[in-house]
Amino acid sequence: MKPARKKVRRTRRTSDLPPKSEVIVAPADCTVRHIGALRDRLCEVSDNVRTITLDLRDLQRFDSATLQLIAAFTRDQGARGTNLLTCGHCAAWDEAAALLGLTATLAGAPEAP
Amino acid sequence: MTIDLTQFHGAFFDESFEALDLMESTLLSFTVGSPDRESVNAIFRVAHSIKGGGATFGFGEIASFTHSLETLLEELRSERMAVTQPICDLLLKSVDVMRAMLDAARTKQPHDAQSVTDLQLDIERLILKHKAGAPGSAAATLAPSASGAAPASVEWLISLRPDPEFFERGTDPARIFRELGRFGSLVVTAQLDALPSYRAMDPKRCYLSWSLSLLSNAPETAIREVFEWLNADCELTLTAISSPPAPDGTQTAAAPAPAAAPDATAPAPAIEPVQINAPPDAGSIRVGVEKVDELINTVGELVITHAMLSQISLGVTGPAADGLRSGMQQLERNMRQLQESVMRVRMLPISTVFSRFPRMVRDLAQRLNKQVELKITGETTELDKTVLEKIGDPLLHLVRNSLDHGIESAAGRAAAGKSFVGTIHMKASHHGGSIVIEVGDDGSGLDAERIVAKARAAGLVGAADKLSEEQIQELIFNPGFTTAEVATDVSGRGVGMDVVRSNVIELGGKIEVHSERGRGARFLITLPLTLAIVDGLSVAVGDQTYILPMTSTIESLRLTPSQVTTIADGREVFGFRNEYLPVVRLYKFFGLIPRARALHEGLVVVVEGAGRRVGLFVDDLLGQQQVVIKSLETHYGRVAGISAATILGDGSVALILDVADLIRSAAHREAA
Amino acid sequence: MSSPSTDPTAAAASSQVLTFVIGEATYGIDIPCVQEIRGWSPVTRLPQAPADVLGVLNLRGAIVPVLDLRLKFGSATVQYSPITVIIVVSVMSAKGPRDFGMVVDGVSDVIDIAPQDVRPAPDLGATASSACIRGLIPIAGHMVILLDIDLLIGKDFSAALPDDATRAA
Repeated sequence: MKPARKKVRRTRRTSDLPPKSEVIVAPADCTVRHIGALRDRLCEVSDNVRTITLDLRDLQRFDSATLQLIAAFTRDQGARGTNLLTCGHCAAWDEAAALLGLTATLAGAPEAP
Repeated sequence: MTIDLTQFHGAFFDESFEALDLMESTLLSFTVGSPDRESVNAIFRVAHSIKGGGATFGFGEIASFTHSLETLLEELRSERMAVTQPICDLLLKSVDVMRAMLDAARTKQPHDAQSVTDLQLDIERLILKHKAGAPGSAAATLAPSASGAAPASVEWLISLRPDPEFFERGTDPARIFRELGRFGSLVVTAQLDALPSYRAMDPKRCYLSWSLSLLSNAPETAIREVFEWLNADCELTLTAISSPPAPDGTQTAAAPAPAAAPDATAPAPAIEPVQINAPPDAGSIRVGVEKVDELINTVGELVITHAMLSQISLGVTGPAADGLRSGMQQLERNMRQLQESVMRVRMLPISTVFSRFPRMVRDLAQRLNKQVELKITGETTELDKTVLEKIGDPLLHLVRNSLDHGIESAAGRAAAGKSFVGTIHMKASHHGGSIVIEVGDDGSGLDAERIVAKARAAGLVGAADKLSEEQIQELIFNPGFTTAEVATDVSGRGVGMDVVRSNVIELGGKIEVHSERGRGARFLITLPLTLAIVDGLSVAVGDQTYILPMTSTIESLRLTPSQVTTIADGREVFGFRNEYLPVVRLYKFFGLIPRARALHEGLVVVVEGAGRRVGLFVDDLLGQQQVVIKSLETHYGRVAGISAATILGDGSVALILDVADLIRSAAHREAA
Repeated sequence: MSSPSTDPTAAAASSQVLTFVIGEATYGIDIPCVQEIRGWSPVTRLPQAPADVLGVLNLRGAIVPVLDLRLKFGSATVQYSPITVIIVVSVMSAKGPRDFGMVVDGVSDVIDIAPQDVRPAPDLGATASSACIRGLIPIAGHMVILLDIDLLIGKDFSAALPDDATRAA
């Protein structure tokens, strides 16, 4: 007997749902000459995302432009109420942030576990 | 993870080398004992900039050395220490050492670290000795306040508002603030109000500005100098407020920059008003040499195309002809202007070459135990960059010669009734389409007898030959010819005047010597203003066209048979302005069939080269025009009597004559 | 295009050769060094050059010497007409790429050859052409004489340069 083809209601597949959380991995070189890539990546993140993790472990080179961009991103995500976590930042990043007076702004993002 | 800075190394090196040149020339112009204040400041700033860059880019040795140097210079500029001759020498040595370190860092090669350490020790010893000797001198150095010095601090309010292009220019505020932080305690507040959303912003632009509060006992000038690298691409204000009130409640009012503010540090003198220095050549840009060369090539092609159109337009008749011709004339005027402008882009003042010499003359004169003064004039005269690069060596050789053989020892000069101090002069000027560089001295001049004797011994000159003054002086340009008794290690290493001459000729120029026994000698180098285009006289010889450079041409004339005399071995001469000149039949030299064989049926062009004049016999003069020099040697090689080639308006190739070589070769062949 | 190679898979080692005619003989040179083929245009004579160095040509702004291979290889008389052909070649020298033109009677074909088919040149004694022959190869029934361009230019143009004795005062 032919198995009946049950009519199955197509459920929404997981990929159709807006992501709940997203991870942004910063590339190795985010200095002013190469910062476009990071910015594009940041813009790819949809507005519906609830939690964003910014992973700086691969970051080898950065400068004040990088910090400026992340500061803007942090501020904007904070205003939207998104949960922004950062991880993998190193002492040089923290020192630079302090020198530029951006520690508080960047701290809008608490440490990721 | 580090902030990436390697991309900015090039600029740091370039600017540091320039700064060192400035330091050196400033030191050389010092009147020992009372050097002018601004000069000492200038030298201090050099050391400071290099220190800052060195620290930032991780060149620890450079940073450390310049730090010690800066400490010494601080003592000098605050007049706590006097500028003496030994200190001057020490500073000059520092220039050498810094150059070596920068060079080593740039080329990633090793350098003599020992000499750096030694010199640094000398500097530090000097400072210590001075401090030990001066009673009650406070350490008003730039050491960070953590060193425990307790003079009263001043609070500085600094606001920095960079231009949007700030980041792209390579300056990083973090670095600047870090430097500031070494002066004292720094609190930085960033203003983000101009920062757009991350989606809307251009991530390369700087939208941030800052206000900082620095509590420091460092002098205002030191603090301002941290911002010196900024090149005025930001708005900066620096305001001093006094330290928090002392128990007696006195406070000095805040004074806005750049007016002088009273310095609370007791021993330091009053602070002079110092502005943020815009670079001296604000408004200039660095351009790659290839870009300029490409520009010049294109202009060269334009000249050829214009020549082609010109030729065609001559043959045009009809109603459009007049308009066309006047249009062509206008085009020619425009082109000349364009040419001149483009050539000027590659031109730099000769001072960049001349500036090496005061130091060299000073050192060498010391070594030779002679007193020599170097006078330089016309250093703003400009010439093509390539010529500039290649003229240095010949000039160096001429000056060394003067020092070594020209200027007599003090005793010799006294005996000759001359002043103790000999003079070497270097002059540059424009004459027509050429630049003339003169190197002369008031020494003993060329010794004609010794020269002739030496030439005879070398077989260059027959025992019975009578030579004119000019011809004798020409002999020194002969290869392997040196009259120095002993080849001093200074100039006699077989690098003779012949190399000087061939270098000058390679540049399209000529060199002559004028000497007066006992009074001195002068060398005159004439160079074309540009290597690429030459004013030429085109002549026809048989069915070929040759170009004669106008700089070598004196006059053209048609000879009557009576003006020409044939002497002994078939050589022909004619009278010209009080002398007899030989005729060179170009068709014979080039193996061509001429249209005219009788001298009075063609033309004679009097030309000058190799210290002589001759008359070149040609069929006809075709005209005068600018020609673009094209190398013959790229794909072929050297040809006697020919310097290069050019492309005429009809697309054919014409050879450009090398007059000096022609004259020499012709003489050689006659003699053979 | 004829290919004398018997083994098609040896194509990896084969090279391309431009063949041309001078008198009765056919010669060949490696394609990679051929810049262009052009018709005859008048040449500016160079003084003191050997007879077969005709002079120089304007090749798109560069001054390039022209060699008449026909004279070099012993043709008795030569003509220069609009159908005379100049092959412009480029060789690498210590000073960089050097271009020069060779006048020939006519250009034939571009062929593939396999190095193993090249036979050594027989000892013909020291003639003008033998010094720059790198080998012979049979193509479609006749012999193509393969020339070594570097030897060709080395001999000629170094001979054209006068020694520095003429520069003495």
